[in-house]
Amino acid sequence: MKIKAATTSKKKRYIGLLYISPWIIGFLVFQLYPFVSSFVYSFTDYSITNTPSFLGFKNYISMFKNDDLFYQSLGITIKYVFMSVPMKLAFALLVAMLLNIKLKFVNVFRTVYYLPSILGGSVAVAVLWKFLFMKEGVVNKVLSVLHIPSVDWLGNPSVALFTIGLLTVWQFGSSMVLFLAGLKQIPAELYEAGTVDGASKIRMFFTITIPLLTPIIFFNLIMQMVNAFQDFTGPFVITGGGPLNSTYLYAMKLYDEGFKFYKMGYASALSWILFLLILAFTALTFKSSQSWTHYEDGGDF
Amino acid sequence: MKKEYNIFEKTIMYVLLSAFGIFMIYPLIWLFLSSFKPNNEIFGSVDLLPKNVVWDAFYNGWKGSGQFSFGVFFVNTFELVIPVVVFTLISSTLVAYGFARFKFPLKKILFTLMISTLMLPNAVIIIPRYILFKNFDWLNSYLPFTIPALFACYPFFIFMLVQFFRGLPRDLDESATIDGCNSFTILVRILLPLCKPALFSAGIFQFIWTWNDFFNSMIYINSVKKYTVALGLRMSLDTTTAANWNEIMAMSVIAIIPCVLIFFFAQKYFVEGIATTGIKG
Amino acid sequence: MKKPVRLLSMACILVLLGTSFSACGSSSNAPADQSTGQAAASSQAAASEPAKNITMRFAWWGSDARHQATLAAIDAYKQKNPNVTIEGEYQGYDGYQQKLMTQIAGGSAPDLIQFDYIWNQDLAVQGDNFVDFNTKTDVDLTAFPEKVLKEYCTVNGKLIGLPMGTNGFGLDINKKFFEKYGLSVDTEWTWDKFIEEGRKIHAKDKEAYLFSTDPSALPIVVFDPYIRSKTGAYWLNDDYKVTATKEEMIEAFTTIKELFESGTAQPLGESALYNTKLEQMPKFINGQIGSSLEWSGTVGKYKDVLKPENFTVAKPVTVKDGKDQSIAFKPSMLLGVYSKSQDVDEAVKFANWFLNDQDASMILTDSRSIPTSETAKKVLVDANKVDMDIAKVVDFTLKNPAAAPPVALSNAEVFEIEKDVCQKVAYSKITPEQAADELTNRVQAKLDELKAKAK
Repeated sequence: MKIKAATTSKKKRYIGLLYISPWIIGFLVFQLYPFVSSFVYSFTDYSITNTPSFLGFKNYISMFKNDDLFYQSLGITIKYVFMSVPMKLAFALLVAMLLNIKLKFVNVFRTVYYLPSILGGSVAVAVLWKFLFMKEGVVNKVLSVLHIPSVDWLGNPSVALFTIGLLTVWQFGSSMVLFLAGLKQIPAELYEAGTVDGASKIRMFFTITIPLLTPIIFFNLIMQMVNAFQDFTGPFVITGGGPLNSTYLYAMKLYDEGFKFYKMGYASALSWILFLLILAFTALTFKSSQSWTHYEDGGDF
Repeated sequence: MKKEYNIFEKTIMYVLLSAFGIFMIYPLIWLFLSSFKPNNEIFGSVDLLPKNVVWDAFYNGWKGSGQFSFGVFFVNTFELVIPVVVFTLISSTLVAYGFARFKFPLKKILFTLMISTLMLPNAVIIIPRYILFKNFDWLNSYLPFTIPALFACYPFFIFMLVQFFRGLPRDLDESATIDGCNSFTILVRILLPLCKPALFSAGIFQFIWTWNDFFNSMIYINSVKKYTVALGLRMSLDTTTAANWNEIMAMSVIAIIPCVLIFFFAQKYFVEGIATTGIKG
Repeated sequence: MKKPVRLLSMACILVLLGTSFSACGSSSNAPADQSTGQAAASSQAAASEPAKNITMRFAWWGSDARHQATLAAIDAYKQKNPNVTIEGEYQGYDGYQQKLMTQIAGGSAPDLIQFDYIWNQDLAVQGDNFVDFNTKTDVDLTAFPEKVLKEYCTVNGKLIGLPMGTNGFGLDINKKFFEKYGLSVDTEWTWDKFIEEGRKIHAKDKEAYLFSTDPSALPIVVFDPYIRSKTGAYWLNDDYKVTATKEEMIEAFTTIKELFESGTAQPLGESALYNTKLEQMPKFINGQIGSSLEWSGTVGKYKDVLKPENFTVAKPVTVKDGKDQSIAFKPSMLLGVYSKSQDVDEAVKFANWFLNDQDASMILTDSRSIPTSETAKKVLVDANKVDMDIAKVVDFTLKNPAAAPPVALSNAEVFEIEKDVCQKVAYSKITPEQAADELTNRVQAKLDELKAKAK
């Protein structure tokens, strides 16, 4: 019996590797070279049409010493992430809970709430957002009906970032869908048992729903954060980074350095700093998750 | 959740959902109605309804500007998206299973490595990737999308499925092993059926994201006859001449129909709850 | 049950892999039959040799009208040269430059490339990416004004592109607006007068603005021309030095400040959303904007939106008693041949036909603005196929065209600094004095960097 157990566990170890082998191959062939290349570029003056020459840490030093926009866009991006991600997740969870109930036409409602995410980065979205939020746009017209003064949503440097943030919050569909999927995975018997034990709906929400949803909450949090740090479609198509650079997200600066100024070496350096930043925040979130995330597999990873 | 709500609670929910729903659907309505307006009305007025109705935007938009109609672009996009979705699901499921259920050397490092590939922006790896695909001679085809999908190069889905697998108790695996199943059968017959909502979510997401992808498609695809819908929608936008925006809006509406339909009909896999965990106490 | 399922799925994956890799072979880059064609040609001493089949790729950006015209021209060429197939790789403006640079980085750019002269430095300074037309005999260079070839199309002595069209610079006017406020469309504006009238108009109607510009245009339509008009020279020179004095800059920045303070110009916050897209701006569409300074290339779409009867053009605004009244001018775009093309000679031949041939010109009309080639232009003008207003702008521009701007002025980073400083002045974040200092310091630092690199 003992020998059999030992051999089965050894086999089990390598079976795991077998299952992840597609990713290992994919990583080695398709991702390793580009990643290493961009790391190497960050130490050169690569401008796409030239043969790069080695610069040492010059790009990084100049980033911290000479580039005001570096700090500005970093600050703006952090603001953007901390504003938009919690709002997005909160709406997603709220709406998912509402749509998890057996209402008539819930299918239609779910599709409607997912529509903004389907529209994605469509050309129409840029036109639409301007149309809604420009000075004489729909939102201000509605506000004026309610006797609230107009806001210069996209032209006022103090407000523009919020308006751009709204765009990503509006597209909370994917997070919502994942919460729905997670909610569906919670066995109904748990709620039945809870009701039998006399627990109230609110109590069950906090003792059954939330704990069992934590793997998905955690996933959504990480993914939305990682995406938000790299987001720039909104400013790119709507405000162009303005007004007065108030919506100049870091990823947009990175894109400009690489594909507008053709300083691909410097852009790569910027990207690796972003990488470290995202990695740091993600690691923090992973660490904290050990205390609040509950896995049915026993937390064994 | 099979909760019982009384009529009052249900009405409140309907009202809330409908009120917020307007914010969600208003843009689509505006988009649709724009396809019946001339340019100056699309941009010049905030009214929803057109004053001077244009009826041929859908027809002209479909016909397209150059040599190919949107029909060609649609077929191309399906040719691109369907293999990508299928391959992504297969490979991500296998890899996620490996990470979620097995222990093996270097597991934590490999998992961290996998997730960290999401943290570097596309802009700085697009040029080396382009060179890589050029060396494979895969340019101007859909291979730069489909082959990486086959090899699980979309960590988002791997991580996602890992989380869902981890939400399933290990007792299921153990009782299946006792019944004589091997690891693959456990995956296919026990775990996957319980993860249907997750699988369908992954499929829908990958479908929609690949369907809407512009930048990568633009970089890798040269021939107009291989253009996808996302490329086709933008090929008339230039700074010097005004495009016929009603046509672009019309085609944008048509472009999201497959995505909406897929989502709408895949929903029943969200509705199926899980009545039992499979373990009778 | 288990084994067959697993075998089947493995088999599926292998089959899919197999078919995918076999599709690798087909790429539309290389032309077919070249080596066999050449062998056949050289082995036959007699007159009629079978012309080899050539496939070339031609990339351009544009809107529907240009796509259709270009495809029609390509078709016409094919009728005359049945062995030459040209595949169009066309798209909108967004992303075109990024894609082109990526293709060059990968060594797989198309044979014929349309590009903007401001990309010259990025495209051609390092690396030998374009064919030098000076070394080719199959092209009629005399059809193009030598000044244009030398100043806009030549890098390091190599003629890397042929100018496809000419853009003049002018003031696009909403006739109804001018009538409403009693302005004459024939006025030759100076900045002082412009601001004076603009102030009056805005005082009468808070929602009306005589002028609109956006952050990306401010440097090009106000700052650069102001300095040039006043001093006779650009504010920096070809030797990477900022040459404008502090006083001159202060004057220019003060003009910008007053443009916005007086209400002559629409607030930047509003116009910024419509960068190069005035035709999408409600105020413009509804006739609340009086004028805009624009290249002639955009006349078509603004004329469309305002309706031709409400649209006209005039000379751009100058500085009172300025040393230089010349008008900004540039080629709309250039056509180059990729040095790594397999069919350089055929490509050169096609480029020559495309730009100089009269039939080609009649098909293309002014889809790329008025042709720079004299032969092409004449045929269009004679046949009256040129838009009247575009012709007017190009005409008065060519009567007094400005000298070509220094290379450093088209550098994207220098432009960003200029844009940033102009914006800050427009938003009243800094005074014109501070702006002059900031611009000089930041740009000179950047120019020093560029000069060091250029060595």
